[in-house]
Parts: sequence; C-alpha cells; structure tokens
Amino acid sequence: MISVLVTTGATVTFESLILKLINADLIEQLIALNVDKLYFQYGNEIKGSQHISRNFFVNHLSKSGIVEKFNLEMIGSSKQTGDVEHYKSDIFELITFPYSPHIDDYIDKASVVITHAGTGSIVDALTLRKKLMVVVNDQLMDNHQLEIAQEFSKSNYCLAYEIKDMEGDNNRFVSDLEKLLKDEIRLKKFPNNDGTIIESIIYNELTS
Amino acid sequence: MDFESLICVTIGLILFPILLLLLRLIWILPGLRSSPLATKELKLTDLPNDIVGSNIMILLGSGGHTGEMMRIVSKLNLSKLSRTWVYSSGDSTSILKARRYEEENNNNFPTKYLCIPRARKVGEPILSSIISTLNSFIVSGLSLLTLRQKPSVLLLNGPGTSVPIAYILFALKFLGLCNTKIIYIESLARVNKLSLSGLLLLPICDRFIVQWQPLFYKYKRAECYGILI
Repeated sequence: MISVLVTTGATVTFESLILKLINADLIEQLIALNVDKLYFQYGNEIKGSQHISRNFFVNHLSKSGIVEKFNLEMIGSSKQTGDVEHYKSDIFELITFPYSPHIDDYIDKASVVITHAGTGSIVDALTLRKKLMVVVNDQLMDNHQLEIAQEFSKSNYCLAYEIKDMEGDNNRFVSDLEKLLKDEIRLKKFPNNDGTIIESIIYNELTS
Repeated sequence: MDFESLICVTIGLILFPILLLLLRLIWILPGLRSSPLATKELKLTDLPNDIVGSNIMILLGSGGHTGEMMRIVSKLNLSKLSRTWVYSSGDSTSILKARRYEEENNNNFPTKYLCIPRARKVGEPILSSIISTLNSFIVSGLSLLTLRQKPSVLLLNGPGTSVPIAYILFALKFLGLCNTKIIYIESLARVNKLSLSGLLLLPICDRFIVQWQPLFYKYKRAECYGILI
C-alpha cells in the first residue's frame, strides 16, 4: 500500500501541476513504483457560479484518457464529504476533491506528499513528518513560492521543483519520487514547534 | 510687552506643545526601548493575577495570512486572556476558523469579533488602494475607539489591514488612551524582503519577528527564532 497525496493550493488553480500529474504516462510510472492510491486536491477557485478549479480538473481528467486507459470505475461521489470523487480499478485508485478542511487526515495516509510551495501546505506535511516534494507555482502574482521552496529545500526538509523539472522522459521529478519511496533520499526532520516562543514573547509584553 | 517679546512668546507657545508631542513620541516609540531578547520559557497560564483577563487582539487577514496566524494561535494557550478577533469584511473563511478555535478551546474570558473593511487588495492599483485604505482607517478607528476593553497585546502577521489597525492603536497609545503592545510576525512566505505591511509597521511594533535568517540580518530590530507556524 503506497499512497501519494497531491495538494495544489486552494485559492488559485495550479493548472500546470494538474496537467503534469494527471497524465497517463505519469500514472503508469506511479503504478510501476507500486503506488496504488493517488489522492488529488485540485483547488477551490470559484468565480460567480463557476467552480473554475473543478471545471478545469474534470475537463482535463476526461481529456487525459486516464479513466479508460486504467479501467477506472467511479465507485463513489459525494457532496456531503466535500465533493470527493473516487475512481477505482484492480490495481489503482484515484481520489479527487477540490479542497478539504481535514487535509491532515489525507496527509496522514500518504507515503509521499506533493504540494505547491505555499507555506501552509509545506508546514502541514512537514509537521506530520512526511516525505515532501514541493512544486513552485510560478503563475502567482507577487510570486514568492520559488524563494520559499528553495529555502525549505536548502535546509533539506523537502525536495523542490519547478514545472520545467517535470518535463521530458526520465525527468528528475519521477526519479526523485522513486528514490524517496525507496529511502534512497533522506530528508531532515522538521523541528516541532510548541508555541513556547510566542507565549513567552506575549508574556513579556504583557508584564513589561 | 513690546513687539519683539510678543513674537518670542508666540513662538514659544507654539513650539512648546510640539516639543511635548515629540517627547511623547520618543517616549512610546518602541525602537528606543530595549526589549527582553533572552526569552525564558514563560507560559501564559502562569500569568500574574492582575494581568489575567487582559485582552489580546488577533488580526486575521485572508487566505495564507489567516492560515499562518491560526497555525500560530492554535499552539498558544490563551485561556487566561480575553480575545478579540479582527477580520476583514467578506472574509467568511477566517471568521469560521476563529470560531472553531474558540469552540475547541475552553476559555473563561469573553470573545469578541470585530469586522473591518478591507484595506488593500493584492494587486490593487495605487489610487484606488489609497481610497480603500482611508476608508478602512476611518471605520477601524471608530470601532477601536469605542472598544470598552482596549487590547493589551495586538498580534499581527502582515495582511493589508494590519497597517491601519496598528497605526490607530499606536495613535491611541500616543494619546494615552491605551497601552497596546504590538507584536508583528512576518509571514513565512517572506524570505529576503519584508512585505509592504512589514516595512510600514517596523517603526511602531514593540516586537518584530521574522522567520528566516536573511531578514533577521537585514533589519536591526528584527528577532528570529526560526519557523513559528
């Protein structure tokens, strides 16, 4: 049982990451690495009555031909549990959702987490001690995701990529994923922070 | 009195209040006061009795800012303080998170929620952002002025609304109407460069905390304890 979780951020649809990962070749490579579950959070960008993220994702999923190629069958879709859709075949499962307030439960189940370089997503995965691959979304205004990703990977807490690192056959991204799964790449543990520092600072300010 | 001394007295009368105002400013400017850097491990549950029940004001921005702030606050035990959550108009996600925090933590002291108009939207053109910031200033000023319990501590992490809120409380402090200590925690997303809010607030914050080393070396008043969220 090897599960991979992908989180693309909630506010803006990270289109290029969805294109790279919801891709028949990549799914094939995942299956070859014995990954049997892919959890995919694709974004919660809504404009008026349009769910931009879902429209993009669903449209691309059908274009990618994954459902037919891997004989995936939709076994569940529920509005109550946050629009989760569940596709399944004998060897592979794809579970998709726009956004989850309980993302920690998904992170918990994953062997490897692939996420956009938002600080919250990075910290969530690292706090739960997960192997983490971070992909920079360079389409954002006032972009500082690159800096964040570089800083975290410099400290060796995670591996960092730009979309261009995911292009071509035998790219760095897929080979690194394999090494991570086989423990050939070791990442540093993220220090746990219990809030003592901020509590002390507030205490100081209240009493001084 | 001859003409000459009349002028002297007039100038004196004008300059004296200005001098007083300057002295007051120097008195309260945090940059001129040394903060206790060596932080011992102090717990808010051990607060002295006369301080228990003081108010902490926590500002929620939107999206990422709220996410970071809630991650920080969720690690704190605020049960001995009353809390005022400030959120921007139209930001229903943030208020939900604050309410959930309040439900999950058993707090004895009352909670207040304060809604203020949004200052600068990300990427808003300069002129229209000046107008919306002004509007935000006036409305926030009135709401803060009418607060019965003024906050003892203001916790900020850099959304646009931080700026008017912090400056209004600083002005109230200048007038002697409150004694709010301003604690700023720069967003983890800022590695090499302060945010605009951070730059504007640097002079008036009592504590200015950054989360990455490059920023710590760049700004003299910044404190750094690593990643806090």
